[in-house]
Amino acid sequence: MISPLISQSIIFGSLVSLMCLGLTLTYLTTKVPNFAAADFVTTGTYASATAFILWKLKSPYLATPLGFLFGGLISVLMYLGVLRPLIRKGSSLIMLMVATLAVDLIFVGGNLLFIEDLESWYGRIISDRGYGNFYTLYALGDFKLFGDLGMLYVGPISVIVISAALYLILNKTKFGIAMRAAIENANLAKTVGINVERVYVVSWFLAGGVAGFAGGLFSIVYTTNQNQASLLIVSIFAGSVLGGLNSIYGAIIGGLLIGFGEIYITGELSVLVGKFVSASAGYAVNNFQLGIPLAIMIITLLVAPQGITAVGWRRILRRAKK
Amino acid sequence: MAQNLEESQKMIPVVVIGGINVISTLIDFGIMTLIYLLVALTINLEFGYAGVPNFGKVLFVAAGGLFSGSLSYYLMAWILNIRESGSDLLSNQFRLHNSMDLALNAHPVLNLGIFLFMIAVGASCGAIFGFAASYPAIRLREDYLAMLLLAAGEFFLIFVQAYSPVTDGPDGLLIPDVLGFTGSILDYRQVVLLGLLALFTVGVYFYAEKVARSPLGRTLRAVRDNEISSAAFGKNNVAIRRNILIVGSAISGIAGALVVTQSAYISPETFVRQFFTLYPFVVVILGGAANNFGMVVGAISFEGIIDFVTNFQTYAGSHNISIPIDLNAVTPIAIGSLLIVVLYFRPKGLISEKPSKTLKKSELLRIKERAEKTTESVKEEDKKNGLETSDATAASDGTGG
Repeated sequence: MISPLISQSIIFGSLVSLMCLGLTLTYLTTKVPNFAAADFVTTGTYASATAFILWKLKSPYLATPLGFLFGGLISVLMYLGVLRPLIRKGSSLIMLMVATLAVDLIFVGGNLLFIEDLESWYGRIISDRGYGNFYTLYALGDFKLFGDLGMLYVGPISVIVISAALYLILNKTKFGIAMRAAIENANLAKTVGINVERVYVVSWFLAGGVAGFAGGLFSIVYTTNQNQASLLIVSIFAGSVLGGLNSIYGAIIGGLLIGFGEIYITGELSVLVGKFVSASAGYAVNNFQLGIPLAIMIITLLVAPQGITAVGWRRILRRAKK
Repeated sequence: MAQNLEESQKMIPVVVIGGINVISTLIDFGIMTLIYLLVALTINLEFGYAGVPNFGKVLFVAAGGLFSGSLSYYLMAWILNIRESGSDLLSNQFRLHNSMDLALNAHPVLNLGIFLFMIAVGASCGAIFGFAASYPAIRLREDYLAMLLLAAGEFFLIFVQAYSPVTDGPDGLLIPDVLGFTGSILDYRQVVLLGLLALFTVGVYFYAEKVARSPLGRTLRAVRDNEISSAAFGKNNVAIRRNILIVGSAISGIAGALVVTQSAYISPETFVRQFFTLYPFVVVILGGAANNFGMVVGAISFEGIIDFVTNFQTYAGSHNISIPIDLNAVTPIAIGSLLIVVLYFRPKGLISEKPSKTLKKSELLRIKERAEKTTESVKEEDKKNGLETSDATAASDGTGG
């Protein structure tokens, strides 16, 4: 049995890490920060939660592949429908960012529409089974393992499995090598006969899929609502920036650190403030949780704008030893 | 109350067509258009001319609006000699704001003073936040900058929700009503607000236009288009970006202060990203970046679309037509799709950027006339000398001389 604060931090860290991986994969291919990245998470959340509740599945984990699928499909749709035409037309970076903001706006309306319909069709089933309603979906409930939440094991294991799978794909398969080549230099990859477009579509599918899968896991341990995306986007950006935006493994580490730090530092701070000021003040600290990823993001951008993976840690350690 | 109602009917005629009160709809249309226009003009200054993508616009509008609202509340409490502790001041807001409104109604000068105070606080809060944001912002590439500002905006709104002295948390705060002198006549209040907004917007429009035509405007474009060459010409890119962010944020703060005077109530939900970052950006892209007149066209057509949807809803409601889908959800979808379509087919907007006019029109005409005259005289001279020169060389000679 691990202390609840650390267990919560690990869970949130591993989920944010997966979401950051999604953002970084899209950034690697199209070089546009995707402002709709968190909406893939919401899509995954609602896809898997709805499937779990309506089909009366034995465990919410069984529905998470559906989150992967839907997140991936939405992501590919966004790439093919919005970004690829604009990139072909030669839009500037700012215009592409505005386009992803527009997609975010479409998601705002789309989620509302979708959730309203779901609520009017299945709302009673949801509330009868004790999951609140579609506007505020209660946590689906997790199994217990050694007295801890199952997610404490499933979260980190999914991060490890997904990063190992990505490592194998990128380094051991022909497609992965083509993918790396296309990411490194698209024009050169084209000249040696790599189908760059297909590579991009697959990476967008993977990116959306991983984010959607994280969304599915998210709904198991957290109460979610339709505004979840606008809160998560801060942590996702912070984690990806900390990881350097140019490295898949950086994103995983960055996301882990941000998610862990966000919960852990807030928890410790609230205990500290509670001790010195008052218990209610300590409790109020929890509301400022998002300040931590933002602060880390600002510090990263000022100190190491290329992210933690680009910092020469060995040199720093050597200097410290002297 | 009944008398007031009669008065309002005397002052503002009511024309109802298809279940829609036309005149009050038009007034509301004007108010919303001007708010979007005001914010869009600042985005145009920062993003259109200087190339700073301020995706955290809501931060500056909200800072101006929320701080001007809550500080005016505290100031009024101090003026009225209400000596209560901070949390009591907030929890007694229903009782206190009544006495504040009475005092404001009794003293028009005080009323004006509080209004000007709110505008000043809005502008300075916007400027301070703009300065704070500019420190990391101007040093970053545009994509990092956009992410940072967006994240900062989201954090600020959550911060206000959690930090109760600003708006009493999510409950919101009833602030002194500077438009209270309009009485209970709702339309009259809206007309006054429309006038105020028009005053500020016209001022900002001419300011932005002056900036665009001045040497500063050309410097801004140079910084936007090519940082290296503008630096080579001795322009301080960092300082220019910082200054434009401060000016833009100060004006956004004023816009926020004007927004909160409308309802005399502030809550963290008054300002959301959708309305104060995304929609003004849609106006900018729709109208055409780096073009102030384009902002006017953009704001009118954008708000026209939104109002069309809402009024269609009212119309359908009064005619018992049931719409199978929720139009509140359709609006963002329609706006987002429109934005993508505009980005694809007309990336420069409805009215594209024009080369800046540095001289007055009359002066330009005079120069043109003189140039034509000299060309003609040169041609005549050539004829006299019996020389056969082509038009092109003659023209270049003429302008050269």
